[in-house]
Amino acid sequence: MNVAVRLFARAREIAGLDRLEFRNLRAPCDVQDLLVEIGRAHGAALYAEVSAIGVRVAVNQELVDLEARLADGDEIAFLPPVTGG
Amino acid sequence: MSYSLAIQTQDFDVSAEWRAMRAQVAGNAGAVAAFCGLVRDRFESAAVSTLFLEHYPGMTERSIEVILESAFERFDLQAVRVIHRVGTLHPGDQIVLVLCASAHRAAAFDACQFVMDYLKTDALFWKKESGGAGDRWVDSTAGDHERSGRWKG
Repeated sequence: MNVAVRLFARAREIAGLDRLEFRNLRAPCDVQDLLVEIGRAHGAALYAEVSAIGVRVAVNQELVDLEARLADGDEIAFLPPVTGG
Repeated sequence: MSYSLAIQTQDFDVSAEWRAMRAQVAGNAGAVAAFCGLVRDRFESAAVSTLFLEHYPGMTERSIEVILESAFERFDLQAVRVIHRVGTLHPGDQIVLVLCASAHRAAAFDACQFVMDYLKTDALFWKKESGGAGDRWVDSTAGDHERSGRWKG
């Protein structure tokens, strides 16, 4: 199964990309499994950033927890603590 | 519920927004409260030369709509307009505009504060400051969370 990952702020800068594509992930795959894949493919610094305390996860723009099961075509976003206004 | 929201890179014209809001609520509203946030040139004594804001198109708009929907539930409002800029900004630039129209001033003032307080803590934006002390992604402050927290309960 294929999924896309959206990165913001420091994580985007560490990866040098705002979007990562993961192809042929073995199902079943949840957010935790995806985090491991991110670390494997893109390194410990990015893994630390997207798995840090306070980072929330959205699948197809809905907040989910780390046990959320992923499906083919999902877009997973790692949302750091916000600073608007 | 009458609100409108824009997330944009370009600057906004407060007087044009004000005129549009007045025309929209003419006769019904007794008050329009306005807040405009500006980019400061320092943060904790370090000079700031540019501010970069990013967002997540779609989900950011939704995060603001949730704030505006709760403002309408909580206050007797007739119309709200929010503009939030993204991209690269400089000290003195306008960054955010909130206009709240109500029959009476208390609701207009309170709603304006409520919306701003939650824009700080709940809207999906990420801010990077660059300047004398290098680049840093800004963390939301405990003060910001206290301000939005006081509307709860």
